[in-house]
Amino acid sequence: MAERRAPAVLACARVRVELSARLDGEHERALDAALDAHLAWCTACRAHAEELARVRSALRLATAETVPDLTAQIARRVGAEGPRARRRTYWQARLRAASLAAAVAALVLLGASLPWQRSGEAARAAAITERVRAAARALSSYHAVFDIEERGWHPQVPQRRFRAELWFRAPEELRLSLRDLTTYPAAGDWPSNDVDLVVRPGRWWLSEVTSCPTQALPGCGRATIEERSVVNRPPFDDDTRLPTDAILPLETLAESEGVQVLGSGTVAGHSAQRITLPYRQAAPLIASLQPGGSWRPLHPLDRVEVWLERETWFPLRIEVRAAANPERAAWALRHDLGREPAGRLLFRARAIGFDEPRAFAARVFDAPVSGIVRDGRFAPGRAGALPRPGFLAGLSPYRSGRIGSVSVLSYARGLSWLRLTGERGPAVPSLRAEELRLPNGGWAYYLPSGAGLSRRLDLYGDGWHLALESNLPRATLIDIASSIPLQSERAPRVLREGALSVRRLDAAEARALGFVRWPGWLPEGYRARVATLARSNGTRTLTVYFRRAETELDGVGIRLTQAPAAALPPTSERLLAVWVDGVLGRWSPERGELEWVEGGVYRAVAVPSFDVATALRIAEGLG
Amino acid sequence: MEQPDPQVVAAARAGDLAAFGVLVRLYQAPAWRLAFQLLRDEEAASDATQEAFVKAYRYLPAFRGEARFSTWLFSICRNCCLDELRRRRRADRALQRTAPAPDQADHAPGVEVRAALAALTLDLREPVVLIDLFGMSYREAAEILGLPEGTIKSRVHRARAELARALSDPPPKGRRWLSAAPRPFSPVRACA
Repeated sequence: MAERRAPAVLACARVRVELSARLDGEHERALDAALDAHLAWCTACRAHAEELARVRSALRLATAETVPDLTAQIARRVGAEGPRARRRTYWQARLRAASLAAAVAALVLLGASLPWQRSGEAARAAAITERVRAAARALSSYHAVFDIEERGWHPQVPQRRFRAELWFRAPEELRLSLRDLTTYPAAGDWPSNDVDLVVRPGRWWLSEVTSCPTQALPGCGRATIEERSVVNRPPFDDDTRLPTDAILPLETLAESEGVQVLGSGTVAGHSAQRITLPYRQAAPLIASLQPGGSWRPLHPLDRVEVWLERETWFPLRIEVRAAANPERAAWALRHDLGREPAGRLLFRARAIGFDEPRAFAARVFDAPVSGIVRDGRFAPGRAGALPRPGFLAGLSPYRSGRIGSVSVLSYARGLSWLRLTGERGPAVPSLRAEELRLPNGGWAYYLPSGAGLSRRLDLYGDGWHLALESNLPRATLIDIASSIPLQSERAPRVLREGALSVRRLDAAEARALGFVRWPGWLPEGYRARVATLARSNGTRTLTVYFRRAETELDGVGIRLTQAPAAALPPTSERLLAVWVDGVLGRWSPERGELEWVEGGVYRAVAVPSFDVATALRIAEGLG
Repeated sequence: MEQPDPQVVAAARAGDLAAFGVLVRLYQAPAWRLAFQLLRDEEAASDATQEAFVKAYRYLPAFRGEARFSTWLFSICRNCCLDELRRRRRADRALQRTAPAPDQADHAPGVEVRAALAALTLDLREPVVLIDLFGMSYREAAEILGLPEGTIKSRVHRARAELARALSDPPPKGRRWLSAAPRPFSPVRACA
């Protein structure tokens, strides 16, 4: 624990240069405390800092000039340079017989589509995902204690300390005890943010402290302990799911894209791999230590660094730092957070002990029934004539039964789980789900995990609606679904409700519509998953969802909306004016959506977990 | 700034035109934007960018990968631009060309910023362009400009302070109310 030392006293001139650098995370870290101390009393420097931040934002929002495409000219001039000493490569062999002109044409065409191997780093991230999945299947028990630091929760409470103890026994027993060790200011009533969670096969119980909204603290009334219980809890229920990412980050690392491998390190004497990824992807990891209580919000682009123990892959250390992103300042303002320069530590959890015990003390996983009680209505027993999968990816049968008229089967191994629910009767898939063909020829409807729901595949056929939910990867889920003896049908392409009709389209059909432009650039891993054309009262609107394969934290991903229209729809929201390719459009920071009208077509790019720069890049790449 | 796959660079060094094409596609746009910020003239920027890539192709065998590829390429581009500036002394004429067209001045937040940026002297404009328009680190900018990091830090601050002075009446909190056209239209959203 670093000693507290009185911060150095700095002159305004020096402070201002460092504040400018702090916006970029390039200041002298040792001066952090001194800078904050100076800002606490110097209003002139505070005003100056705000001006600097405004200028910086303005520079980034002033969109790019129209950049000409010089590829052809460059190709011609480089081609005219004449041959250099060449070593034969695969592409050289292909070009050998061609004339110089053809070679130049090849440069222009091939340049955009060379199938280069994934770089070394991406391969390492994918390997880590595989190892974590393998470790998850093998895990049977876990016990650890974490030391937690959180900053910026309230202006009068700059730092909070917690101790969390986590016990787990596969497949569905877990206890988390979080104790608030913070010394709050003497004045005012500050709630002690203690949280207790116990989950066991049929039960769930949470105890947390509730109080008024954080901004209204202190002095708005007494805090109370609120307890909630669920009885007859279905297996692997979404609402009362086990927060296991702090044990093994399965959801966090579901996609290896976006994960950067930083190298090795040592934590508490253990050798560990260091990785970094945006909070947008790591949210399940942080959330698993915060199943209840009051916590400061984090921005989707904030940087999360995780140290994974080399043999067990347990996260031993987690750090969240503020992102260097111009919109974050506006986001912080909306959430009543103080100034948070890029690189500032916001949250840190360190494991101070962990093991895989053979046995647990008698009452560790006892769950009381108290407070507000909800009935999950699960009745254990036979699951009826539900069609079952022949392939189970090595999982073993777990609990089965019924919830009302819905039959339930579940399977588990270690932390991996699968739940099959089935109901007889007509049903239609969600219009956000991706339509795909199973290896056995049947049709299925897929949704990635996110927004509190698990990864799922829905099948319709023989009078059944089956849903497969799991934390197994998408490819495995598809294989399991394919092994179910069911002729799963294609859902109707058109849905009608009054004057509104919605038609599901293939990507090719969508692209063929006259008013539609398709993205030329998308962040890594994003592909078109579902396209729907809605018609109502003479208007047509095409909505396309682009998502990653395994997980979409916000449940949306990237949504592109296009419709022939003359003008932007009216709104009373506060919006930011932004130039999109020479046209004046608007950006809603709260919805994360960029809208503009060009050539008689309304277009909108919604990116709730990204920033305006990403939305602009997508928008300007439409073609 | 995205870095190319090392295999692509190696292949380009060996004379593989297709691999060089990948590099052109990756960096052509940011190189042009850098040239435009320095020269403030679209045609001159196009010339300088093409020149830069031809030089890059020629000198690629000498690039050993000690620096990042983008740093190396932008240094070449910058040098081409400085040659151009010295040759034709366009700095003064460029300032005149970037005055905003009258009908844009009312509702274009970006135009004021860009005009103020163009008005900065080159020694302040270069660092702030690399940091704020290209999102580079101070270290990368220092390598490209051949200056110590401390100098980058102070020049970026001075540039921002001058820009702030030039834009001394910004809209409150950078937001604007937009009044919408009167014709009613709502996109049909079939699902949330």
